[in-house]
Amino acid sequence: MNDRPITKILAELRAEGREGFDELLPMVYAELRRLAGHHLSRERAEHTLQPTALVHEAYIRLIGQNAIEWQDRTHFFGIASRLMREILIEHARTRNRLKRGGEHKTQIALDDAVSFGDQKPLDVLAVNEALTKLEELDAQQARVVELRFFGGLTIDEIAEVMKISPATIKREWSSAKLFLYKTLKDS
Amino acid sequence: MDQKRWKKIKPILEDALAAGPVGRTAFLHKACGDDAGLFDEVRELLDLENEDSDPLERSAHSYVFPSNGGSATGDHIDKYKIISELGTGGMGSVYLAERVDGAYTQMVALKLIKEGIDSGEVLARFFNERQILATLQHDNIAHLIDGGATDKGRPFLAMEYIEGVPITEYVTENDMALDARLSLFAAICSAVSFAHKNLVIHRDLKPSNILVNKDGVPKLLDFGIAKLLPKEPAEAVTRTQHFVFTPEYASPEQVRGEILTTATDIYSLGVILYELLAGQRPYRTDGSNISQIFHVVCESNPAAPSRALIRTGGEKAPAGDSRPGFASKLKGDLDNIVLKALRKEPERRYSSVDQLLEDIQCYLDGLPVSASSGTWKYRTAKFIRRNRIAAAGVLLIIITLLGGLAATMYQARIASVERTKAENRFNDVRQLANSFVFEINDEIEKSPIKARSLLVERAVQYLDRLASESEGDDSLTAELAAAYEKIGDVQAELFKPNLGNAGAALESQNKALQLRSGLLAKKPDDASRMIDVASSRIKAGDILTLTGDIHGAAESYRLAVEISERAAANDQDVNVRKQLSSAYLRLGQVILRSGSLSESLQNYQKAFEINRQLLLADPANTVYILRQGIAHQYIGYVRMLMGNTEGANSDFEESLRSANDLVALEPKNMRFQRNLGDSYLWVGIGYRESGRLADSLANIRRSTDMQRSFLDADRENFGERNAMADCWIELALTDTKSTNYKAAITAFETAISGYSSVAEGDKNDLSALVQIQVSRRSMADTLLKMNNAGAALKNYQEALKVMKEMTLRDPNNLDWQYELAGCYLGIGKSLKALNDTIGATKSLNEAAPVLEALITISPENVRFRRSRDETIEVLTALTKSRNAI
Repeated sequence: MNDRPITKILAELRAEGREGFDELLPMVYAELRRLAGHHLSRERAEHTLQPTALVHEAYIRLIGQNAIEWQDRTHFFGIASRLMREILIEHARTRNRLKRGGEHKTQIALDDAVSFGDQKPLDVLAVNEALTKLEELDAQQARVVELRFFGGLTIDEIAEVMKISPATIKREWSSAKLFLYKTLKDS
Repeated sequence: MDQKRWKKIKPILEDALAAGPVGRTAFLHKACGDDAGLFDEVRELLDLENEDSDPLERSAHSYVFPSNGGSATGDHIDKYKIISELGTGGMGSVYLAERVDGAYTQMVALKLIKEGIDSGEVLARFFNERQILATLQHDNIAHLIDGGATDKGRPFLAMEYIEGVPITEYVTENDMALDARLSLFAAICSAVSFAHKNLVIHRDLKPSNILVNKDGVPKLLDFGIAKLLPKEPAEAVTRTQHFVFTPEYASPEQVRGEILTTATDIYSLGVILYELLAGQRPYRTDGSNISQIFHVVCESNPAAPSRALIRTGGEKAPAGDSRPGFASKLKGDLDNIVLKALRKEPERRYSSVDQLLEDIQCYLDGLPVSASSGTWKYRTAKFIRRNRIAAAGVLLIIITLLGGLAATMYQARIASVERTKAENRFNDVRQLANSFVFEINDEIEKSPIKARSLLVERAVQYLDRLASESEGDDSLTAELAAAYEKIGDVQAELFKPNLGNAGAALESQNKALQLRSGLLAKKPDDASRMIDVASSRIKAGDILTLTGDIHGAAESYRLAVEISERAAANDQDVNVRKQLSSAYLRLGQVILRSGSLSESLQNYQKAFEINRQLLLADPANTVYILRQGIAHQYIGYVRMLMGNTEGANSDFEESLRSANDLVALEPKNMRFQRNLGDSYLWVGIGYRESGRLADSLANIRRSTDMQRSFLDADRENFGERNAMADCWIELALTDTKSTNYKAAITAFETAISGYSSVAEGDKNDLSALVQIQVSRRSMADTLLKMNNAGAALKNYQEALKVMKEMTLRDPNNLDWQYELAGCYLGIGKSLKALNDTIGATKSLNEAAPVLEALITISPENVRFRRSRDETIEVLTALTKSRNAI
């Protein structure tokens, strides 16, 4: 791992007002991979790999959980959102492959049924494709979606990461959703 | 669509969304001008807006990784966001969650009841657990941070989230030396001991519940989970018990499904210590075959840790030690300590965790340990092995109480008396505790009531035995007094429905009072000792009230007020003022029944004022808000009796307002729910008095509906049955006033049967018995209005018979005297209607002096005056008609 403490890097990034993927990404990614390996080796067979849990764990391990500036945490999650998007899409693809005839067919069908209940299911891969289209039209707006939908950040958190007012983020998110719904419907 | 187009669409779309659906078309026409294509495109997008189904509002991982519980990752619960599931059990799941409302972040372990099983009983237990956890503030216990309810009303607990590794992994990973391992283990022992003293047993101690954080501090998790075990039916308990424990760490009694005591935790600690020392567990089970687990845990003897280490070589010795070298350190004392904790018979293990801890300390200090000394004498008792379980939740409270007290007692004794003698003595008592636990096991299946009585009886014997030796030891005396108070509470409150042992409860409270008075005499200026005495006086007063000794109760409360006032003069501590406020409230209550209304009101107002000050200083404190509301109810009632219906109504409305506030704060808090139900009832009563009959009915109905749901959740609870009957009688009274007589009669009958079931269950609960008569007399009043004098007369006479007895038992209770007079008045009126002029006159002449006496004592009471005036009126009419003949 890098010798510079991650909290310091975050503080600098915040002062400079940029996100700084390049510097932090390798560190976070390494920690995530290490943790994923650790979890799997502990025979947690009954638990599916949960990227958010991993990111949080990575966050706690890298930074600690006491007396941390809210902004630092937010930035960290902003950074991790892209990784999470990748992990989630990768996982969704794997599942789709399995669904199409893998040995775990029944099992997956079963937990799908349990999970959604009255919620309308959503094809995360299709959302990802729609989001790629939005990226071409409006990169900033697409970033809002990434942080929100894949990163699980709140409006206020996104505002902090992107240095834009929460009201604007809200507007961006509301119109982006309609764009995505329409693209999903058309595809 | 291209960039340019989207740049054009987006602002119009966002403005339209922000403006909302009203007038949208006009807005769009204006914004799009004559670009019809733009209009259509925006319109099409807007049509996709659907508040009910907005799947993008849930995060991606909730779709990719659907959780199997009711709550999904990414969901918000109160001020927390769920990150992931940490574990799941029969009652619910535990999630890793993050606090998202503040300017700082905090990770918590969020425990949530599963959807669909949140019945009243489960909820009550959940809140019970919350209370227990709230008291467990210890450096080595993951503490409770918060609690509340989700939007849907499911309660949750937020606990300290511990980021760490299981203790066994920690010592291996860090290659810890023997002494360091023992120190770590000692910290855990102190946490378990602390819990035992707080009447909590863990029941599922294992390395995965003991995490060591990065600072090297071990923390105990999942405390009190077993408290959530469902009480009934018995099979469910057995099943859950089997699922709850972890076979490798379960004690023999746990595997057999017997009642668990603190000794079970000691056993599990023994297994953990074994593992910390030998790097392996004492037994190997494959975990799947019950009979194999049974055999291994209950019958086979584990090898000493030192031998296991040599023989199997599971653990490599810590750095700087060879395996044989490490093993030789374990040999002797440490082997003995571990094996003593692991004994099959609970009573042969360490008697308390503190004792185990002390042996560890002795070892670390190079002193002889008790496990090796051979001075312990055991009377071996072979118990018939039982596979059935008969543990009601209440029993466990007592058993843990005994276990906890035993531990304290042991510590206290060790300091003052010669050790061996103390050990023998202690063992005796321990033996007693154990033996009756087993007796109970048999008894409870035949008759739970009897078993519970027996249990309490034995607990008292046990305490008496300790009390005889406690002299000169202040801390033990204080502990004993607290134990008596708890037993008294159990006798009077917890077991009230089944035991009805008011006399015994009073005796226990008096014993506590005696011990506490003695302590106060030693330090007459100590405010906390005064408060303890006041607490005992209040408890005694409560029981006296219950049994109908009003003057005795008043005296007891008066003394409580006096001593609390003295304490408050010495010490303006919040607890002192709280105590003072409840003493005044109780005194006001009891004077209401035995003295003048204005005196009662004065006391209520004093209580109100103290509580108001407390609330001012701490406006978010729900206890104070609750008390304020209750004080309003009491004050309103007195005002109503004084004829001030307007004042009364504003008090009742005020209480309803605060009750609603409380429920909004904690929707699933049963106490708050009950308080809301009560408030509706009071508002309904007040409106009836002031003639607002429709409003009265609506409010009483709301109260009735709420009360019905409480009762449905806990049908055996006598308190709920009582409250339900209270609703029915008020409903009947409003129906009567609305001349809806038929409905009124049905409601009266329902009330009577409700009170009867309570009175039959507890012969000492005189208030239920009296309430039956109140219902009868009131029903007779209604029957008289229906011109059914014959039926009315019968009911009046029946009520009179009981009330005569009651007023003989306690002549000082004004309510009862009033009820007696009411019966006489009613009989007089019925007989007049049946043309028995002589009989009528005779009965009315009985009523008149009683009412006159009541008016002398409490001249402000409008009810007394109304009845007196009516009696005179009927008498006058009778005289006139006789004269006419």
